[in-house]
Amino acid sequence: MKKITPLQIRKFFLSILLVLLSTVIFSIAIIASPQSERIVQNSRFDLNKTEAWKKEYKLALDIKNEDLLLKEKKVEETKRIIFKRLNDFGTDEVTIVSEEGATPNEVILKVTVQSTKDVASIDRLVTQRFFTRIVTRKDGVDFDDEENPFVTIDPANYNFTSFTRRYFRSVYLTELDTVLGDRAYFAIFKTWFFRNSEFDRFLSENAAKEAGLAIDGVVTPITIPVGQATQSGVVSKPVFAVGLSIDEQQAKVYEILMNSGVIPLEYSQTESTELIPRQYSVNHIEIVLAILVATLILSIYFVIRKDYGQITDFVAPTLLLWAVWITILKLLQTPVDLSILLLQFMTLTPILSLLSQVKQKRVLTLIAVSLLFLLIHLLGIGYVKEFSKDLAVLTLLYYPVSLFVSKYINMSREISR
Amino acid sequence: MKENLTLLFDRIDLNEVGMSLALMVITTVVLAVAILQLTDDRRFSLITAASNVISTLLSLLVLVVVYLLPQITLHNLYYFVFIIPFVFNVSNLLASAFEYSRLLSEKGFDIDYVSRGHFNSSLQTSAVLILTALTLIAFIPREISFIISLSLLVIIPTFTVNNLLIRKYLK
Repeated sequence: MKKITPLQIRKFFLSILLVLLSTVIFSIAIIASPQSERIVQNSRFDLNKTEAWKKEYKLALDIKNEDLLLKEKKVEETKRIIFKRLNDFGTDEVTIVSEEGATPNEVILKVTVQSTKDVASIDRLVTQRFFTRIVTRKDGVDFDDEENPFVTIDPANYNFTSFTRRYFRSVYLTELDTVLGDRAYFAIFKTWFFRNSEFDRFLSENAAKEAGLAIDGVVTPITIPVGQATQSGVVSKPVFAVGLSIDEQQAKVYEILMNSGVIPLEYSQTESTELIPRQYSVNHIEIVLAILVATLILSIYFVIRKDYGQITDFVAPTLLLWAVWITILKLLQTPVDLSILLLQFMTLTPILSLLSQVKQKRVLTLIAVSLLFLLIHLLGIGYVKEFSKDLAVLTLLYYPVSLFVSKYINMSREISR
Repeated sequence: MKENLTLLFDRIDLNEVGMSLALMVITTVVLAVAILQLTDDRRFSLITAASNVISTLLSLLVLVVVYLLPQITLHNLYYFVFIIPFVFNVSNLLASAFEYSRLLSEKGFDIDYVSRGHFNSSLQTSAVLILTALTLIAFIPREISFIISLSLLVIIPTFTVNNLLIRKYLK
């Protein structure tokens, strides 16, 4: 009987492993291909983002006589805050232009937005000044008056305190239990350390009393919290939290409105016009075809240069990396802007070619480039934010993918020997 | 005159210019410090930092010129004319820094070899970039093709600038 050598056993197991790995690669290729979602009936998915919309808002800024000297500065501050709100929300394009109004006390802001995000949320971010102030109830007002349903929300029935949004360091939004037992998002007002005592005094003087949070002339009634006695007998500091919304998306809008800065001028929306959004007709099939043709041309280039190492070290891992990425996007049902995906491919492919030539410290170089994309994401605006976030992940993903490809090729060579 | 200047500045997005300058300052400082730590070569560190500043300013200048072209409709997508060459330039400098630090530890280290190696890798990256970009241009809308072509036109001079600097001053 012929004896089975350890080498044959190793080759046998390697063959099984290679078949499994080939199945994985084949599955990734199938999922990444266009129209593959048709095979699985219960998962209808297209990579394209939802339809974009474009709108121009006209805002009339009201400049008070005492603000005329600082008019330009305050208008610029208003533009900056509206821009920050929209950028933090992730809108694709924002243009803000100011022009003089009919009187010296008026400035018109034209805010043009193009986005695929929720229109109502962006409407709020642009049109609401969101000036917040803590108010206390006036004596002598009947807040239980059934004939006046607006008594609790009318700011005329309240005393204004000095605690506006400017007084606080930040507003932290978190999900907490409500008195009814369900969950809602609450805004927790964080004070500066040097102002702690003043606000604590206000809370203790008004503990358990009814008060309110006035936002743009409408009051949300709240009850000033009471400190809880702990086991050691010390009374803990009350947390000033205001319930805002049960919806996560709305809570995000509130968070941006409260933490983007205080708009120094009062304003109102005078007009809003729907515009035709600028969109590019790129589809999934064209994208895949473009990636395949580009990879083929690069392979031919390296064959002509007789640099076969680059095909295994760079072209094959890059192709697999994009297949893995498109698969991830499809499986997680993440809609993407396909024109941005193309720009990402055009940017990352040559950079990976450059990095594949680094002989040592390749991981360190990949991490450094990934950090560069992360920095661009943090400082970025509009499309660049989305573009660089994905590239930071893709650069890091390249290392395991290239290791996988190199192991796969080595195993294939070992079996064929 | 003032009105013309205002019109001119209205076409330039100051948020983008501010972001570009912030990116330039941060990456220059990080590159200079990192290279000094890696190679302990103050000259190489300064040349790389200077190269990053010149290339970034060149890209920024092209972006501003693009925004001033009357036929260009303003939108954020044109910012890629700056960001793509910037990313290439910083990655190229990073790769050369890591290669330089590796070669420093090798026997028979030749400074000219570093600049030639850097030139070769830049050349290959440019070839890959041109091939990828030209292939994609065939599949994509005209406006994005225009952005890609402009990026290419900026990347090649920035690569040339940093190669010239390294070749001239590293010897």
